[in-house]
Amino acid sequence: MKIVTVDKDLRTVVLDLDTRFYPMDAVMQASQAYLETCWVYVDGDAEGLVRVTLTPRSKKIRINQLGYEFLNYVLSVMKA
Amino acid sequence: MAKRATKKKPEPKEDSNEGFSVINNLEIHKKEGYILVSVNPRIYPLQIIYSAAYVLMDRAYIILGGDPQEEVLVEIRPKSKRESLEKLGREFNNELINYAVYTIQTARNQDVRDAIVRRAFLTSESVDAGTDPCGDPPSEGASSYRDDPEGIAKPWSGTEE
Repeated sequence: MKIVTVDKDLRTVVLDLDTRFYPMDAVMQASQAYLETCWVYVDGDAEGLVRVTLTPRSKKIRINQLGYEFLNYVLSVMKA
Repeated sequence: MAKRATKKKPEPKEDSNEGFSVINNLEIHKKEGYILVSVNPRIYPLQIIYSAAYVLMDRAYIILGGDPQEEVLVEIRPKSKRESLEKLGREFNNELINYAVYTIQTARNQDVRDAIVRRAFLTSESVDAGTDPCGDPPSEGASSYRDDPEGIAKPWSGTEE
């Protein structure tokens, strides 16, 4: 189950999300919430696999945890 | 008195080729630091899995995968290294049961809750429509505040009589 890919050289995290588990609305809401801290790019198929690319604006942000934090955030949006 | 059979704790089956151990529906990847929980969506629908995941969210990162119709795979990565992987997986299983029961009870009590809410709204409506919220207006024959049957309504003069 490889959803999170971290590119340390580019300081970028790529998330491949299955919209059957992570609905598109929740992904977009989470992406919007991350706009202040990261450059966010959403691509892919809204009915299948969505690719979210996160590039932190600050070097202080821990890139290894960023992707997993994003996933938790998507789940919390769905719960709310 | 018959001897009680001693229950053994299920031993995790170590799969040396893959580098992980398996206990029931839990796949413990110690080296990589995560646990994979296999969930049957026919018993635990996605809403219940989301709720169970939400409980562990402050202690672990949760990643969902697999097939939502056949087998949902929940990857749990503890935020702290001190957290026991097996314990996290077992707690997740417990939360699944908690929320499954909660969902069943909620469905059972749905009619009663609806009836209570409906009753509350109806009561509120009848008050609004039928009566004055400040009380009934005084009838014609009733005494007014100007009446002084006790003879005590005297203007204050400043001196005692």
